[in-house]
Amino acid sequence: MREFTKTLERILTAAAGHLELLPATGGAVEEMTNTDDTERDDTRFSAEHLNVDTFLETPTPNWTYRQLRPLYRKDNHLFKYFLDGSFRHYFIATGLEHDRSTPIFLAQTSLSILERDDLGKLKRIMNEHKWVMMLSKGRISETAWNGIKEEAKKSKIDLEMYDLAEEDPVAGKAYEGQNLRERGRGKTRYLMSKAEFQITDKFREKFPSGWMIKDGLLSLGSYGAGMSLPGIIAVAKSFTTTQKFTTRDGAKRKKENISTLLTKLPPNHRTPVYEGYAGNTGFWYLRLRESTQLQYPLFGVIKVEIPNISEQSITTELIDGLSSALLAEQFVTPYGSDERWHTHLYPIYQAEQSAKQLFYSTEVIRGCIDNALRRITNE
Amino acid sequence: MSKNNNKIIGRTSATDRDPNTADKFNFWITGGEIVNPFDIVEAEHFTDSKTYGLVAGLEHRTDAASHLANYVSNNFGSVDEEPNTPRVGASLAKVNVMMNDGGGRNEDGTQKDGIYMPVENEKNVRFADEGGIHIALGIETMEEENRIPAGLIKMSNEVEAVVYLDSRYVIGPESAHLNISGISGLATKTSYAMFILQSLLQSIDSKDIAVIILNVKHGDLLQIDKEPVELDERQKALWIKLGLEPKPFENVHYFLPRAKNGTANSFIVPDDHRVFVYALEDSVKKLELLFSGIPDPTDTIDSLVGEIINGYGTAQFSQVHDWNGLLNNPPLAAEGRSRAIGDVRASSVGKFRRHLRRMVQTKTTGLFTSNRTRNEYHLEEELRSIEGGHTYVVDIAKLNDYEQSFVFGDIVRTIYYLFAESDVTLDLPDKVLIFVDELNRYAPSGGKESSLLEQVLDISERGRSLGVILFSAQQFMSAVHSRVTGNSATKVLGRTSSAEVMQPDYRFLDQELKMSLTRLSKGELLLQHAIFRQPVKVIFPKPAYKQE
Repeated sequence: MREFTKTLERILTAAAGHLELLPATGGAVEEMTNTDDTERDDTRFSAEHLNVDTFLETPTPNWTYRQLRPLYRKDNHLFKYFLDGSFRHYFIATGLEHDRSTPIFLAQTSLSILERDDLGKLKRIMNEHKWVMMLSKGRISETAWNGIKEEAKKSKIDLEMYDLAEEDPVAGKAYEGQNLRERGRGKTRYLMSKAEFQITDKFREKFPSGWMIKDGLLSLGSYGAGMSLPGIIAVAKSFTTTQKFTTRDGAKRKKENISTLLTKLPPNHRTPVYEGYAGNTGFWYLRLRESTQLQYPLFGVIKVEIPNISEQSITTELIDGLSSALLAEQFVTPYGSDERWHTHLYPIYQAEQSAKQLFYSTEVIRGCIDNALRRITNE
Repeated sequence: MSKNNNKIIGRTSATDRDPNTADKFNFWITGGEIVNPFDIVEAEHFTDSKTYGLVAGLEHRTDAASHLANYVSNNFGSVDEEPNTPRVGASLAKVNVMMNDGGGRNEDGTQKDGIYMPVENEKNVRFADEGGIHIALGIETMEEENRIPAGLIKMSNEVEAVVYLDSRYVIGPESAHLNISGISGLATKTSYAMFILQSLLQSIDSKDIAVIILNVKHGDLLQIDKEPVELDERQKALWIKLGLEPKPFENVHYFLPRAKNGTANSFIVPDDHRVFVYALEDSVKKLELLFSGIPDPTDTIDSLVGEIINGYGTAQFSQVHDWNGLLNNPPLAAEGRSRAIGDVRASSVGKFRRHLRRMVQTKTTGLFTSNRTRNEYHLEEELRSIEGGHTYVVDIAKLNDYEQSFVFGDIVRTIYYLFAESDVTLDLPDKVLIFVDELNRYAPSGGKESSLLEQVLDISERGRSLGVILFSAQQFMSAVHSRVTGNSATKVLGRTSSAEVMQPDYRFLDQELKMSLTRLSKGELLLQHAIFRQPVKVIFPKPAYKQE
């Protein structure tokens, strides 16, 4: 903690040497995360893929829904690894240089991979905690940027500095008049996704076999290939509702919007695997819970993504197996602890909890930031 | 400082809502470890010190927000499927801090001062070893010659430790008295009392101690000098583990009450015994003890008893030589009618006579007689020649309630005055221990004042300084006068009911420990001693004398 405080003070001192710092009103502010982030990201990634009409499953399905039976751990322990990440994001101050200004953000991201043994007991096998500082490079002079970055590089904690305005798949392209505070949150989410991809690479090297479930999305849509390793699927609890799908029922084909498609999806059934943007991934929907038990017809349905890679053919047999094992993951649930309980897989929920355990307390961080700013602005 | 090689069984846990404090800490228990209430554990603390604590309670917590969450988690109440991932849960131990060892010893060998800052989060916790248990209880600083083995602590990891009482706090001079409570048949109160008496006699110089035991049930204590018919090897090993010899009591004298036919009125008649009986002349000075159980709201009986005590032996009582004379002759009666005496009206004298006649003539078991024969003894006289190193068993099992109270009162008063008089010409032992079961009969809580109760309170409050020590037992502590139990520096608790532990007398126990009292097994006792910082659960060996 002392190292973090020292680092923060050094960086802010460096920033204060170049910029006039206007602390956030009432002290550092934690920017709250939004549970619909995944849906918004999926909508962005799918923006150029509104009509989904290509099946990626072999053999090509001539059915709309396929019934499955849960495949329990004691019968075939398929999913042994679970990855989730979390972040906390703080607005520290506005940096002023002449008539230009940039928000200054600090974020902490953390990731956790859990392993489940054959008795069902979870254990953390990999984790990562990082600090991220963000300013808009284009809004300040190069001297100021370089001065602050130099100080960040000297840091003994895992801290990296990023340009807030740099384009990325989540935050998108920066544009004039954009709310930079909103953009800061998107940037942090992107950096966390990137860290998830990186830790997954390391994980796969260390644990070459065994299926892993990653929370959220694999695909980056039109922004890139996303994750492309074998033995990994991603499960999204919320997803875009903008797409339309071509369905088949025997010889009949028809187009249905996602709401109709999923409202009619019976429990313990899945849809065919559709091709994701540019063929990088395949994805399908699986209903974990009866809609009659829930408040909204699309509740209880998960979106599952799988990389479309040559070493892993997407057969009906494979997808049935994965889906059946996913159905068995519906018990137990974080009912009462998380409003997304109906689509939350408990080991993923625990991976999220494990990742959150790595966070430094918000009260402490806010205190450190406020103290550092007070000291600097008083000097 | 001894190093404990026991494995780590968990780590301390302090949360926002449930912090560790100077008095308590929590720890989660690692998978596969068994921890039970009353285990003694040690947690790592500042400057390499260890904080010792007693596991008071245990709970299991999961991340389920409610029971409904668990119901929903099982497919809305289905029992057909097994969870793919069992819900994350942890067993948590709630620990009462006993002491901190300060990190070892000073250069002069004394224990460093303890650190009573709360134990921090995530500190390793282990079972304490025997040395650690002794440090935790304060036994380590107890002088060897003051140690009285009081039982064996057996922890969940099979570690055993002998628990010692400090004789200075059992028989004085620091504090004194021992009280045992618990349900009959399960709490083994008498067995423990006899064990601790034997332990005491073996551990300290017994020639300075005399023991008086009242036998209140069957023939339980009428063969304590006889070898046991059978004492299994396990029991013998337990005696030896405690550093004691499994042997019967020595130099035992039995006093049995007289029956109406003149023989001993006891369930078992030991070969060597004396029969005691009360003639009027033996009883007149303690007549009020006989009326302890009779309601006397206006103190009329008390006044009359005073008249008799003062007048007995004077011309006014010249026709009174025995119980019959007191009942039927002047000054209390003439020609079959009651007469007033002093300020006491004839009607009140009549009431007194009716009670006395019932007690000494019509309802007596034979304890009261006109005149003692040569083979019948006066208990007071016998007790006045009490000797150290000897044990005196007085049997009152077959007596009526009022007779039992009278005999107990006689013993207590005789011993109390014997020691209070401080007659240097008498060769008295340094200490006299009196053991009595069913103390609630003689010193009931919430009961009316009586001379017997006053006598018991005198012993409880002033006996320590005189060397008169009371070892007592009863089913329910709440049924005994709080000044008696409050003055007992050592309390021994056996299994009891949940209603009983809710009584204020058990305030010295935590809520969790109170409930543990209802689960004690036969032969398990909770020991609260003046120098112990927390009560401990002990087992003890069966008495090594003949039992039926």
